[in-house]
Amino acid sequence: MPLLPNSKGGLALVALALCSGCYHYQVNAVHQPTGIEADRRGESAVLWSWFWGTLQENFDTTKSCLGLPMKSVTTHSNLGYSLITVLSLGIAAPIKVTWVCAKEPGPVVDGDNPNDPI
Amino acid sequence: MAKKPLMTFQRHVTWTNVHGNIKITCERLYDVLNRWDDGTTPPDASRFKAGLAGLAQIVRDAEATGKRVRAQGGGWSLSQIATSEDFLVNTKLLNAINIGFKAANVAPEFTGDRQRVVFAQCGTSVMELNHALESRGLALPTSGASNGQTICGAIATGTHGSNRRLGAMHDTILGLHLIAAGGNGYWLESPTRPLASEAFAAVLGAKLLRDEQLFRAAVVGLGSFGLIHAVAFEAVPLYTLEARGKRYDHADALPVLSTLQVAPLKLARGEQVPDHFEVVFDPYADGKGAKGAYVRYMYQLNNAPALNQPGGGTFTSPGQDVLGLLGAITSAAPALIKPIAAESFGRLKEGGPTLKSLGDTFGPTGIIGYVMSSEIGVALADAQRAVEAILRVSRNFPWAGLVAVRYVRASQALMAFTHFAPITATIELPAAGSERTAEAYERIWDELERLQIPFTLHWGQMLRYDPARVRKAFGERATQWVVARQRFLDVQARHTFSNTLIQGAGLAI
Repeated sequence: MPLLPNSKGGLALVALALCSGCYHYQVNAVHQPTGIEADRRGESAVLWSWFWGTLQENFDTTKSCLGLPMKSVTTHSNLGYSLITVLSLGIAAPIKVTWVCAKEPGPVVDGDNPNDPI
Repeated sequence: MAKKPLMTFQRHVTWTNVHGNIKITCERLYDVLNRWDDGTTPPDASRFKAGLAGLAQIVRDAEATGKRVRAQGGGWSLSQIATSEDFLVNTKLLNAINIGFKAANVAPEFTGDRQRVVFAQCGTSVMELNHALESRGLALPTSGASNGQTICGAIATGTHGSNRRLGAMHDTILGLHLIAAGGNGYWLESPTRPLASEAFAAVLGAKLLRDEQLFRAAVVGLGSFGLIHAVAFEAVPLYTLEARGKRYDHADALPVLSTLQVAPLKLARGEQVPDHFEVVFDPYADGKGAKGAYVRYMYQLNNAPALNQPGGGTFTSPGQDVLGLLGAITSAAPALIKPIAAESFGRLKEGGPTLKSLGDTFGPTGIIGYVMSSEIGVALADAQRAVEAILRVSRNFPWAGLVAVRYVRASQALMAFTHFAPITATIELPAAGSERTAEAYERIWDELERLQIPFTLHWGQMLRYDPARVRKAFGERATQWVVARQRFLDVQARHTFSNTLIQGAGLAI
């Protein structure tokens, strides 16, 4: 069988090179009760750093997470963002950030307390 | 004045499942919390009351607007079973757990240990249950192969493990708290395994129902008997799984599939059939000496293991686009499929034993990205023939995945895909997501139909159910499920608790 028998293979390689989120780095609470996502949505923003990092954009997740803790933060970069950074000589450096809110650990109630409902 | 539950919704939300193969837009996506709208929370022991009130209100909202409503579970399903284009409910924040029932809450006929009875709200994940139970010297009787599902999503879709002595997760459930028509609550259980007293039902504001047929229908209810607020089951003392892995040629592993006579495999305990027995095939490594079958087996020990304390830190893994990309590349260049399957298969480690708890054995999945999977249930006697057919189709039309066979005791639940007695062999087909993989599944299902091998498909994985195929897979059980649902829900409620998949399968009548 040919390695790349039709144009789909070429397209896949082009996609590999140009896809919108080519490079990802993640900080993730995987193995702990607070490491479970609160929903399936996740939110994202493109944040910019200006003038060699002397100005930076930040994002406060308090409202978007309804006050819940954070499960994971992922950064995404791609060739376009890299080009902007290089061509502007570092004056403008964008990056996409996605965050996922965590579940609040639920109460675990033991027992046989006659005053408890269960 | 009674407090109101805190719940919010967003309109016209695009929702994607964990594995990235299902995307829908729903009219409303509700978040419901165990909080009141004044920001307060009920005390820990009755924390569930706010969330319960929220679910009841959502049902009433749906009825008032003529919309269908469904809980999303953990987003773990690879089918559209847990989706709705109308109202979708994020129940993940309802995760209160009560361990141990007080004496007044159990029925006099209850024969178990009430101190080990667990009441878990619907959004509690398997991971949360493992943490809560194992730290108290208890354990789930069984779980799926990973821990991201919610307890109610897992049971409603028929999630199973690999313990051939036990059934699937739903087979361990003693009672269900359903929020049905009008937002009214019902505590449903089997008269053959009674658990709860009238006093307990009163705590929930529910009506106690003991109805065998209705319980068997609703426990794998496919989200169609109401919103499940909570379940109860009896935990077991913490145990250890002693696990090993070993590779064989296809020709050595295949004859074991329908007999479970493992003596020729020379496992650690000779001819003793392990409690957990799984065979994974690389479909393309079928030659003599290729060692293309990997056997993972476990014996269940009654002693408690040392619990894992994960260290965390930096680690490297395949990127999140990799599986989708592999799928695209292998669709275009099938010659790459075999080395990719071999690489995946090569990651399965030989050796052992490892001694771990259930929670540490079946932990978080490390797979991220665009994944597909389908899972086929067949009778034990048909397992070898079915796997041979699947391997044959795969060699003729390669796809980028593996074939994994596990065993589960037959379920009494009417729509359980593990209903084949006495043991159901489950054949899972995990793969990189692509059109080619989807086409391979179609060809595999076609071949099993051509060979007239009776089979079912896991409700939470990729499937092909229409009314005729549902009848073929479940026979009279499907009719009994529909009749039980009609007995429990009126016409309007049957619409409220239906969705596109259920309607397409002819079950929403």
